[in-house]
Amino acid sequence: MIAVSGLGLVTPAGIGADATWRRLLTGSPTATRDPDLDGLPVDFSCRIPDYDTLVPPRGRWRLDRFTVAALAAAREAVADARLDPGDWQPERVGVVTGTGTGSMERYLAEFEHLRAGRLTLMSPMAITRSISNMVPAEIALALGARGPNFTVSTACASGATAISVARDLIRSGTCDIVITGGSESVRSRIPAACFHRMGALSTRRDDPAGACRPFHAERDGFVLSEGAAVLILERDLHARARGVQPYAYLAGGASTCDSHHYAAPHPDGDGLASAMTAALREAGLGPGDVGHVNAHGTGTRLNDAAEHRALRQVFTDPPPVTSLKGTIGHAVGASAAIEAACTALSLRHQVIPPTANLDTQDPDIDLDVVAGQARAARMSSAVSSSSAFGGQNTVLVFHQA
Amino acid sequence: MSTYDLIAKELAQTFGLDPAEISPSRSFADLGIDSLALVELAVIVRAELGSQTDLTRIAPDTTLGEAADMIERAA
Repeated sequence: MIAVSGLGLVTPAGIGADATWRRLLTGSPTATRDPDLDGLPVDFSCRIPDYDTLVPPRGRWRLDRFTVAALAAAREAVADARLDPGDWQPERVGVVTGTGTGSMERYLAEFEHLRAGRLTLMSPMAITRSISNMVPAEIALALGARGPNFTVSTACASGATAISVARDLIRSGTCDIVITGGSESVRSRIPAACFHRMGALSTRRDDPAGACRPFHAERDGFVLSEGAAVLILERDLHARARGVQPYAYLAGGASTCDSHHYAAPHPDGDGLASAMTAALREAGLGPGDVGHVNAHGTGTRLNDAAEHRALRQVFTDPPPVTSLKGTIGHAVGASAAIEAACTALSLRHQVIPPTANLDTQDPDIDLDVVAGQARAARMSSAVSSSSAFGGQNTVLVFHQA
Repeated sequence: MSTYDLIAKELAQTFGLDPAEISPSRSFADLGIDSLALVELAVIVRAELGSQTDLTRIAPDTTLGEAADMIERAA
C-alpha cells in the first residue's frame, strides 16, 4: 500500500494544513479585491495570507510566489511525516510537482523593458524564477533530495497528475519517498487578463466573496487563486517504521484525455468518467464503495455540467460531493494537489467540507453537493477528480488508513 | 543617499542579508552574492539611479566600497 504520510498546505485559507482545513470546514470564501489587478475587468482574487512569512528573506529574491509557496508546503510535509533529510538516502528521494502556467508573475515588467529597449534593466532571473521545473529543483536544493526531479503539467489537473506519477515511482521501486503535489499563482496581471478574455473567470466585481459558485444555478466562472500542496508518498511499512500513522492510502490513480476540444471538456464528461472508472478498477473498488467525491467544481458553466455527467456515468447513486474552490478559488496547477490532500483529510476526520456560496443549486445538476456546513460522513474510500484545458483528466482514489 | 548606502539598503531589503554583516570592506562573494545575483543588483541600482552605467566590471570579489566608487566614477 502506498501511504500519504505527510501533508503541507499553503492556501488562501491559511498557512499550514491545520489552518487551511479549519477554514475550509467553515466554507467561508477568501476572495477579495486584489490591488495588483487594479484596472483590469477582473480585479479580485484569493491570496495566501502572510506571504512574507513563508520562507526566510535570504534567497527569496530569486523565487516567484509559486516556488515560495511550494517550499513552505514541502518543509511542512517533510516535518509532518517525521522525515529527517539528514537521515534519508538522498538518491532514493524524488520530487514531482505539478504546475499549469509556470509563473507569469513578473514577465510583464520584463516585457515592458524589452519592448522599450531597456535591456540592462531586465532581470537575469526572469527565466529561472518563472519556469515550472524550478519548483521541484528548489525543493531538492532546500531539502537534499537527489532522486528523480521533474514537473508534470496538465493545466488544472497538474497536481493530481504529479501525484499519480509519484505513485508510479514508488510502485516501480525507483524511490523510497516522493515529495509530490502542486503549486501555482495565477493572481497576476497576465493570467488575470488572459483567463478573462477566454470567458473563464467570474466577473462579479461587486461581490468577490460570492463570485466562485460551484454547481450554482448562476455560476459564471472561476476565481483566480494561488497556493501549494505537498504530499509525502511512501510505502506503508516505510512510514510505519518511523511510527507514522498515514493520513490515507493512495489506492488508485488514472489519467485520460478527452481528445475532444482544446479548452472545453467533453460535454458528457466521457474522458473524466473513463479516468474515474480506471482509477477505481486499479484500487479494486466498485462505485458503491466510494463515500465521497472531492470534485474539480471550478464554477464555470461547462466544467460543472460535464463533471456532473461524468459522475452520473460512473455512479448510479453518486456519493456526497464538494468543491473547495468556492472557498479558495482556482489555483490551477496547485488545486488538484490541494484537493487530493483534503480528500485524505476527509478520510482521516470523516468529514466533508461544504461548497461555499451554494444557496441555489443548478436544477440540471442532480448531485448531493455538501453546502452550508461541513457534513460528518462515514467513508472508507474517497475520490478526487480533476480536469484540465486540453481535455486532460486525472482521478485519484484514496482509502482510509 | 550615497551609492554605498544604496547598495547596502538593497542587499538588506531585496537580498535579505542581515544589515550587521554588510560593510564596505566585504566582497559580494563574502556575502553569498554570486555573479547572477550581482547582475540583479546592478539592475536595481541602475533603475534607482536612472543611469545606464556599465557595471559589468563589478565582480563577486569586488568589495562593496570599491563597487560604490566604481559606480560613482562612471556616473
